[in-house]
Amino acid sequence: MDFPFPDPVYPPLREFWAGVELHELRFPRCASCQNFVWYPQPNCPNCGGGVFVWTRISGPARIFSWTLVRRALHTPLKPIVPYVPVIVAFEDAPGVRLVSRWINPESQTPTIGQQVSIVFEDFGAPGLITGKIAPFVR
Amino acid sequence: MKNAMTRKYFMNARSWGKLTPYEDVRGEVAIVGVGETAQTASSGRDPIAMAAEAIAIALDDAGLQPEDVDGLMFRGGMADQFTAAAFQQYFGTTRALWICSEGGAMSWAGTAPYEAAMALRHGSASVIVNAFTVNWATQAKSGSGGGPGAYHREEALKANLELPFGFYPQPVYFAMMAQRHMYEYGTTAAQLGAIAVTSRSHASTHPGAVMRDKTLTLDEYLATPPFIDPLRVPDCCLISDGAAAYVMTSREQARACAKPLVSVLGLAEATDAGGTFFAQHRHFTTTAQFYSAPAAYRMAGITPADVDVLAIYDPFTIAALMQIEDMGFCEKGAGGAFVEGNRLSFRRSRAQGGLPFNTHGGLLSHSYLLGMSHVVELVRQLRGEAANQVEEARIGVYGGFTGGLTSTLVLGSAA
Repeated sequence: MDFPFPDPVYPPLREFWAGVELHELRFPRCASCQNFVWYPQPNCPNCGGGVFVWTRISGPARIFSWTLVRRALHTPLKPIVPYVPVIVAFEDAPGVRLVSRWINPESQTPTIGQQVSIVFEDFGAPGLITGKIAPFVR
Repeated sequence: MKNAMTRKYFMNARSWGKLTPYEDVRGEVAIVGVGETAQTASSGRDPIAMAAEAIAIALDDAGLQPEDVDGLMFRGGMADQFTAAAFQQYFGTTRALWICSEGGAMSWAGTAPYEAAMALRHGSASVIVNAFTVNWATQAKSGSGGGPGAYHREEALKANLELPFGFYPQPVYFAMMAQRHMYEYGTTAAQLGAIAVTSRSHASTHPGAVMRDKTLTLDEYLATPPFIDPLRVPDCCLISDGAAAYVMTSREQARACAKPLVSVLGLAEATDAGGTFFAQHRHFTTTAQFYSAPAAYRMAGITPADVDVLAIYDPFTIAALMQIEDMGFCEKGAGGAFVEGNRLSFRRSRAQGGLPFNTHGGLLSHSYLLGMSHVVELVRQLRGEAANQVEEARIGVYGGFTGGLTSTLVLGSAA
């Protein structure tokens, strides 16, 4: 399958995908200034610190933006069209925005600002079975 | 976040972007020649041959010979660009060339004159060509080559955190920005459409535009269903084949050239701290023009009110709208209402309350030359030889854009 899966052992993100396997969302937090630094960087842009603690997030998440992709713009993604990519922000992780997908059988599209739940489902959800797990929102 | 955010708000916020430190080069460089090939759909043309053709036209325009050229700028890291070896091969010259890979199109179409100014100062070169060529229409048709998405597809963090969720390619990024801009500021589809309609109108009467003789009304725009909400096909740039070049020299040497003087009055470059990771840009609906435009105006000694003709890198209507705001032509968030009607038409000058914008049709309707044609068009406007000539155009500004990087270039016809 040529679905564009992530590389679960790509070093800067190994902790992230290890968390997803356990149905947890974890983001790197600077050990010295406590700021979340996302995407991962070698050093904290706030204080220059180089030690990060991957911290589990379980608080509220909200839709920051979204779109509805009605036709395939990239052939490997064709099996999931139409789909709704979203950017999500977290109340207890300021500065973190996660790119995800909206999976909700009850409504085709979300609204900005809407509170959402994180769900862990197959990368191809709802229709395609890939055997790999991703964090989605609904 | 619903209220229009003021400049003060941004300045007080933790810094989210920064200027590239530039020395003042006001008036040190002139653009003396411009040239473009035909801009077309998939043509099978060789990109290097197209670049050579554009350079030959630009040199002829300047009244210069290939032997006069001692500097060449192109885009490093992009395939099929025009190098020194190609120059010598095509023009039969043997002269050694000063080479700079910080040229080409996108934001660099606006900052190449800075590198040229440094070369002129240091005596590294005296007549410098900046060229850019693209055959992505041909590549798209044949399925070969990287195309516009290659960088984003291959970047490791994007490949691992964005592509698997379908946050790719560029229309997805900009659709999300448009969606958010609409939420924050009440921008409407018809307002984005006004940019597409004006761009098409300009292209329709521009002999070099892919969309020459093609029209688009606002009703037709609105009747086109979104394919990636809220973006419609006319919100997105063309994909085409073509090349363009411009020739730079010192203002002193420029006076001996064939055409009226167009000088570089100011320029600047700025970077968003989020780089090319659009999802992580702190101000998702604001570009780094917020930093680069005021710096370029400062060097030039102008304000936005002095700008007679504007050319903005417009891969999507929303990208143009954000930059019009960020470059200070209206309040942040007020861009939607600002661009309505004929505000951006070349026929409505600043004195008439207009803001002549992308008078060649831009990436939306002229061609996919990634900003090179924008600079070419400004030079023609300031010489008074444009197809859609703005009355009394004396100051022209280019807003360049590449991921998290922006540039602002101020050109003037006044000596």
